Amino acid sequence: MKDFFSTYWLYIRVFFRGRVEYRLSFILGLLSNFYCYFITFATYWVLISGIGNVAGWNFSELSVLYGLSLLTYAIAGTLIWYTGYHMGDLVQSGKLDVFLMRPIGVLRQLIFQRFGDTFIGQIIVTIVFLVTAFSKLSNHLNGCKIIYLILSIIGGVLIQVASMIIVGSLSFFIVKSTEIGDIFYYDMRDMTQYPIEIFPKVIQYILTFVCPWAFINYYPSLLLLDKVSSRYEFILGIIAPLIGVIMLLLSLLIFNYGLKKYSGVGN
Amino acid sequence: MSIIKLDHVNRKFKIAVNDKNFVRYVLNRKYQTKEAVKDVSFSIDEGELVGFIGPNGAGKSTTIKMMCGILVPSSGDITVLGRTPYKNRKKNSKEIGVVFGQKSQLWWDLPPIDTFSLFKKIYKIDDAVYERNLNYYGELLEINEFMNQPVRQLSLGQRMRADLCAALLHDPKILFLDEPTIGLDVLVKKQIRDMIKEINCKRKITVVLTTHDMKDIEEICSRIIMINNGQVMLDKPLEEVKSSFSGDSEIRLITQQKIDSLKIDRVKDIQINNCEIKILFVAKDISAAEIITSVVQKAEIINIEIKEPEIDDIIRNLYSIKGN
Ligand SMILES: Nc1ncnc2c1ncn2[C@@H]1O[C@H](COP(=O)(O)OP(=O)(O)O)[C@@H](O)[C@H]1O
Ligand SMILES: [Mg+2]
Repeated sequence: MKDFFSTYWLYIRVFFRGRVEYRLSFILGLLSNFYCYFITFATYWVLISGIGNVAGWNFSELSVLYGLSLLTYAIAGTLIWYTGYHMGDLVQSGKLDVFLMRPIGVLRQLIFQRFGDTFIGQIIVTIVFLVTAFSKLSNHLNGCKIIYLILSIIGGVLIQVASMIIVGSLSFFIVKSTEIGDIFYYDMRDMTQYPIEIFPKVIQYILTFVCPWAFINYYPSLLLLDKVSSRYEFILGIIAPLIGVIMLLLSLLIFNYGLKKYSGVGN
Repeated sequence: MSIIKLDHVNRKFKIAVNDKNFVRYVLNRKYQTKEAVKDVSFSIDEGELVGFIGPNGAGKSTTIKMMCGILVPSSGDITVLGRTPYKNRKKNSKEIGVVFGQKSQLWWDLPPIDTFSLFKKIYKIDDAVYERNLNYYGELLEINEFMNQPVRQLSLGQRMRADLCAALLHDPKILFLDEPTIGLDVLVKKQIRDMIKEINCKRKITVVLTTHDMKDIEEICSRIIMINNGQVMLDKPLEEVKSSFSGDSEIRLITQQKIDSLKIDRVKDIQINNCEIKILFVAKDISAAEIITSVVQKAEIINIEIKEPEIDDIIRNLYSIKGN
């Protein structure tokens, strides 16, 4: 573990040394990323303030909901979006071979290989919005809730990381994995920008038990915002961080299975 | 003592056959099996410098990848340094160095020295060893002058030399090179060959390389393994076969004046078409210089083009020796 962090840190330092080479494009990239997410939030705000509230959630509460989804996505993105979600490029070009030549784990190298610097702007904007939203809430965070908030952010990041790994690993079996990812990951996950209680029951179940995106932000928000209305919701909220761990293990299983297929074990 | 051993190794690839009917493609897809490597056996001793040669698609890269642990054989056994490569991939990779001519390990936006420093970390190379090897290979491969220049600014030859250095920093016992000279100009090719010879000689690194350039083999290898269609066609010390590298060379000349007839001994064929002359010959029978001398006596030469024998030709020739 210590090895992991010190190696990652070295890779990040080296990566930024390379980025500085293109100083202007790096700063512009960061700014445009900033701007892009600022606009995203502004649009969301205009949309919501027009309606007043959604299913009894006011703007600050909706910002928490949306912010948790974006923040965990952006953190996961810095880790593994470029090489994980887009693993198909490496598999199809055969560049994955290069990672199999080195004496450390392949997934580890995928994380090291490309730090997702373009997500930094998003992380900053999202944190600003989240902090503002939390400060405007009538029911404040207490010690317990802060610990839960941290755990659920970690859980959310794990779910997002796992999803990116799973989508990428599909490329071991099919050609265009990102097309599936765009539908089942991006499009479906975007539904959780809104309280999922506005959708039919069947969609709520799918977002909970099939593609568990509701654990990224919805169930944690229920707990954080005192909106839990049943024992069922309470339990789902409490286990949200655990779902992250389970998803991660599942994604590792799929990735390792795919990697074995790539090398041709039992072919 | 043998440090690499392949025992009846096969490798098949299953390739999905494209089907216009999408549903059938997804549910019941048909596969074609491609046998990339068929029943290959050989063993390589410590200190050997072995050249794999064969045309494109012969199975050279597949064989190398199996020895590196990147691919798993469909059947048969491989032992490298006493281990099964794919079962001990990480341990194995610490003791071997690998360069794929077409897959650089270097970071595109960064100077080679940065990639080296990352390798130092992931291969856990001691400071002293790292310094020593960086000096040694930096000089041997003449990479010091561009060590601090971003890789994207380097020429193909410079990049290949930096890639070789990266693969050698951790003192591998075996170096696998898959087409290390592909696309390089004559000077860089020579430099790389010299360097391979030197590390084999001085550092006792066993080298296994693939190429489809006969010269690579002729000039540095002590042993040649020729493969075609996934099978070993020939596996011999170089001296035994060197005299048989006898594909047809071709020389094309454009002359100032028209020549009506031309007779040269020891060539295979002469075609004259006004001012253009095409001569087929075998290098061990007559040299290109001798041919040119004969022609010059008849007419002034404006242009000369020499085509070395095609690898397929040489293989055909070698195959016929093996047959008898
Ligand atoms: N990943 C793969 N999937 C399917 N077929 C492959 C794969 N890799 C190689 N082959 C096939 O196996 C044969 C041998 O390829 P290769 O070992 O790359 O040859 P060489 O390196 O001698 O040019 C070729 O016909 C090639 O098309
Ligand atoms: Mg090849």
